[in-house]
Amino acid sequence: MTSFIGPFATDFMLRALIGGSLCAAICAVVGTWVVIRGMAFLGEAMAHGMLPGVALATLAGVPVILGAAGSAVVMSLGVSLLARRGRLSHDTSIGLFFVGMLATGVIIISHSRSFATDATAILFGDVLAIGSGDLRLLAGALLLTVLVAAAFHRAFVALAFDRRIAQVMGLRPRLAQVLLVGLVTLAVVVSYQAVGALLVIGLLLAPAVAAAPWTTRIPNTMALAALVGVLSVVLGLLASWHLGTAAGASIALAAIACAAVSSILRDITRRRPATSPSDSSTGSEPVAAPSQKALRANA
Amino acid sequence: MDVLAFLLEPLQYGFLTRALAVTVAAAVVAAVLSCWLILMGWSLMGDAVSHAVLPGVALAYILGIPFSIGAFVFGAGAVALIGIVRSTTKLKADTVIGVVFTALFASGLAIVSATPSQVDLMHILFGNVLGVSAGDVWQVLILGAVTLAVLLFKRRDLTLLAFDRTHAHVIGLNTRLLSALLLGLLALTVVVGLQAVGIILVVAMLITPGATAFLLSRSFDRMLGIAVVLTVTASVAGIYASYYLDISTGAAVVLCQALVFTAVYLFARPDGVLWQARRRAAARAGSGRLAAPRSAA
Repeated sequence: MTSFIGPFATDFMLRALIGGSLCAAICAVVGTWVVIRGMAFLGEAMAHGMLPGVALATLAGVPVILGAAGSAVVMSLGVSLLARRGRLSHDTSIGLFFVGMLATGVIIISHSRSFATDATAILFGDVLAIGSGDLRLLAGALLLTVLVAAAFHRAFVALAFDRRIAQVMGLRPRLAQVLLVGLVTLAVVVSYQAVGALLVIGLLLAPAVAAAPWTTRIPNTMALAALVGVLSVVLGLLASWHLGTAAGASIALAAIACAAVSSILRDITRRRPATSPSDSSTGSEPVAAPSQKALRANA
Repeated sequence: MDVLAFLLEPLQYGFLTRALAVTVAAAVVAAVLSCWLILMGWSLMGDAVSHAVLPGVALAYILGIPFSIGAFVFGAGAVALIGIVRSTTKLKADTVIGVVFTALFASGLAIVSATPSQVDLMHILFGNVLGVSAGDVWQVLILGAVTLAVLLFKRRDLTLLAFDRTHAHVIGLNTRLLSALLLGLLALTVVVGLQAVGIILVVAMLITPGATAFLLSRSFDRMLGIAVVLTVTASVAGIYASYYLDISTGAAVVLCQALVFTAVYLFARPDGVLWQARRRAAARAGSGRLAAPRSAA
């Protein structure tokens, strides 16, 4: 038992646990939409594209979060502009912008050799170095994410199922799409410290994938995904403590292991055809007793 | 300094000529492959395979075998794993790709962090083209030549696959085998490009040349030619820029490709953004309805 509780008695592990859990909760809410809407590549690109902003912010001595947010905004504007104006498909536009930003970031870092160690911190995160100021920021981001997700839930659902109907119903699909991209940006920017720019996408996707087969309503998927995410943070931190592996990578790996276990359990316990929010058209209607299944998934 | 001296000075160094050879070879193979990847919408797949080779490279270093073997095994393994997970779940393709490659990438990081050894993570991630040996050059040249030969030999089938999968199937081509072949070649190309620009930036070589050429051409053969010419130019320019400006070589090459794309995006006739804007202004002024033909891909 002490090997489970003991590590978290130290100050930095406790802060890592709280910070990681807040990140997991943000990623669970946003990740559920990322999985449903098929925005994985965009999330990945956002995470990589932050590099120049973070590098410049570190050089200039301004808060890193501002630089990250700045380049994420440039990314999302650029991608939508390129996809709308040119002949290129959406994924090509994303790819172009993301490698351009990434290369710029690498050049900035390679040119100023002084903070070579910080490059690894950007890419792989440093969850063990989360300070109490970061915790407040994460809590604020979580609050904002939940508020936006709750307020625009109907618009997001309508957008996911049929854009034109959403338009007809007055649910403003374009605004919903912009907000969704904004949420992905926020989640990636605030949680890169926990798992690093290279693995944020794992924390976005894996818990939502683990939760999807056990729930039929999107809010339940989010809640279960948050639980899975927190569990992954705990497991990852413990593995990192006892085995000496990189903390961010261990968390991402734990999350993906949860997704694998969940899909195997689902195959074993399947009694009736599974329904996931991505293909059931009744996503916003209540369905009986999903909490019981949620408990089973978590056991 | 006159122009000739400017061009010849870096070439006195053996490591720079080797870097030039490796980069140009990798860039040509990647550029040819990128034309098909762009048409099939597989940009994410290139990104995924390049990240997924990390555990292979790390294990190969630990075991002391050539890193390209480890990288290829894990690249092909990632492609196979993505295929299996896709066919056994109802998840969307991009979700499956994201989950599989982060899993492999994270295990690679875990391996590197748990083995205190001479494995230099930064060299794997960003390439170490200035440190390649003569043996590495041959490895890259041979692998690149094989990939290129297979691609060009199967050129017509792959193009049909990219444009009309159903038609390809109906006329008797084995579309699943062809897709698998293309993905296998993708894994090989990633292995080739690894040495030049590293895991993270190899995806740039797999997207930018094809996208640039796509803006400039209406026929596939011309697209291939333009992609190769542009990528060779950008690679050479990138190496020189890295030498004279003292910046990371891989990133300089990628950034040169991005600059070429930006120039084409803005100034190419007749589809460049500036020409489109001019035509729209002309149309608004009432001088005929010659609106921009915005053909979708």
